[in-house]
Amino acid sequence: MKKSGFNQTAYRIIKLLEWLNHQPLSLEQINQRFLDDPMISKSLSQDTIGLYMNTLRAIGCEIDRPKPSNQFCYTLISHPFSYVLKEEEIQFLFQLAQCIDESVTYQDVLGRLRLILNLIDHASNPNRQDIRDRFFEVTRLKDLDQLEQMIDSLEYYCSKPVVLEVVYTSPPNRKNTRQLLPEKLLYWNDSIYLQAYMSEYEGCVLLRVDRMEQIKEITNSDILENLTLKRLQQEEIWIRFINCNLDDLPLMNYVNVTDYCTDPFDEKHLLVKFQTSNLFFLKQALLESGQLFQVISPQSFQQDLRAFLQETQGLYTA
Amino acid sequence: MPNSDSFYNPNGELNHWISGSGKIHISAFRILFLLKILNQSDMVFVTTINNHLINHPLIGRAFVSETLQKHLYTIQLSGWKIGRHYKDAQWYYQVEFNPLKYQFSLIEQQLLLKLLFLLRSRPIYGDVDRFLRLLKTMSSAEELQKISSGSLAVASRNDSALHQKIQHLESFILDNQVLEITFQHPNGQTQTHLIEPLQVHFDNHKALLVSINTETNKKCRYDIERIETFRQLPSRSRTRVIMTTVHFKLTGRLARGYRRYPNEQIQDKGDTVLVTHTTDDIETLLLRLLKYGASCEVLSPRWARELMAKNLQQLAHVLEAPVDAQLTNFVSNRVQTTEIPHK
Repeated sequence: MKKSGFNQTAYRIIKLLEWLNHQPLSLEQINQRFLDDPMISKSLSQDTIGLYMNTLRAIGCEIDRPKPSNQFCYTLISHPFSYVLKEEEIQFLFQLAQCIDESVTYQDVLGRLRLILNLIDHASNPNRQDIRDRFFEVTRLKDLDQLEQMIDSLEYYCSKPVVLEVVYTSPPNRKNTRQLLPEKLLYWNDSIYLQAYMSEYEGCVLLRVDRMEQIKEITNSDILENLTLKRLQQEEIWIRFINCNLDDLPLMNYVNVTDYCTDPFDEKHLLVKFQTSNLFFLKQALLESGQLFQVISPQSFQQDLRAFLQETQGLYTA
Repeated sequence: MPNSDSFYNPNGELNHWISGSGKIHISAFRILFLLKILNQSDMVFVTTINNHLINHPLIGRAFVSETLQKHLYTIQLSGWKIGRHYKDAQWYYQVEFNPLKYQFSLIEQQLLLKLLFLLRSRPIYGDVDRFLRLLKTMSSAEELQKISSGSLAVASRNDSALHQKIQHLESFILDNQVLEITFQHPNGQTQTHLIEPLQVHFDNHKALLVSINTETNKKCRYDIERIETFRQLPSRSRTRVIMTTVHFKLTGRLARGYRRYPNEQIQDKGDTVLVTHTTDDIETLLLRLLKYGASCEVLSPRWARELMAKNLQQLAHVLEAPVDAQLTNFVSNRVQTTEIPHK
């Protein structure tokens, strides 16, 4: 039935655009939506839908044709009806992508980068690709999809006892292949790291995930056994934090705490047991915590920290 | 321009045209073009619309008032809300609801919320009003309301008292106030602390107040729900009154692999890197530099260098104090009874 007072075809095309904006749709799904819409209530031929898609393309929409790689769905890549980002707004988004907060997790960082890239992709700016390139330049990332996929895979492997072969680029641009036992992912010092065990190093090592190019699981029971043993050889460190409670220690989010209690002789202080095979990392986390602390045990760690502080103090006494 | 490939409807109007990508529906195209113009600005005057229409090669003429109204009606039927307003003796149109704008997922709302908290108390990262304006440009007012509303701000608990407490604390932070707070310690005791509040931090559905305890001069985090009372004192915070530019030198391996942080400029001199860092939170910067050990030296300003030396001295003093033998015995005989907080 012909409905008066409005342009039926334009209505259909605008609705089609809105549906495609939510998700890619096949020809059948589009027709189902046309049938379900009380203002349309009929299905249309492939040629008519093709005409509508062409009209959307002519106005500036980028729409992928149905093909096997998109499960035979029309896919809206971009459209000119959202918002145009001004240069100062682009700069502001870049600034947000880079800001560092206390106790932020790697999931937060990744989520924030993805959100900002989505907001750029959703904009109607004709130079969107250029803005994307600048985003990658300021965040020093090569490819966010690749980083997300890498993190997904590493999350999976961290939960399993497996040896991975990793193609890793060490600074400056030295590519090498490393075999490791992955343990956990963490955000530290403005980067996402994988904590892992390698035959060549004592204790655990931290490898930057964005420097990993390829990972693959390998089957080698000898290496696995050797690295698992290495992982079990962890030192227990007891630290007494002065005038401190648990909420004051964001470092508990990324170092392995196995026990804690209030100091039985002075309840203003907190006793924490860390278990680690990477004393260097623990030392850095303790120093960055901003808490005054004492090493209860072992003595070797206490001496190491004293030597570290004495050497640093030397810079300021001259 | 339309050519022999074009054809006309019975009224003699151009109906379809073979464009570069194939045949299109020209009357729908006109309405989509109108929609595009309406989205380009907050205020679109009728004259602007007509200028665009006249200059477009596929349209080439202005709309009469009835046609414009009919097209706007079609657009509104499709789910858009277009307002008509009057200014400077002219009518203009404004898109009040655009269903094609960005819709934030629940996870994205949480991320934006964390950013909102961060910007409110750390303006160095950006102006919060500008952030909200930008979100409004990219999304709808309803979406923005979801993010900035108090109920979401306290993690969907709809706790207006907590939201009000957060707002008060945020205003104290921005005014660089010193506070006296009574705080219920996790062990059940109520304590009174003098603090310089720095930042409201939102994590794991918990709002935390990051502050400097003025008695211990240490950075502390207070669960805001555990803060029972707070009172403003007649003094101002010394910690983050002004922005500071700090110069430091990095040497050795650290210098070779150093990645510049935001708010930093670096000067590479081979094995040495000179860094200029601007911050509103000198304490946090110095803690980061402290962990670099002898590979990093704070050069200026002089007071920052002295503060670094003082921090090192304090830490060394505590570290070098003899450990009580009873305490050593206690930890070696300790049987774990406490549950480790979820990480």
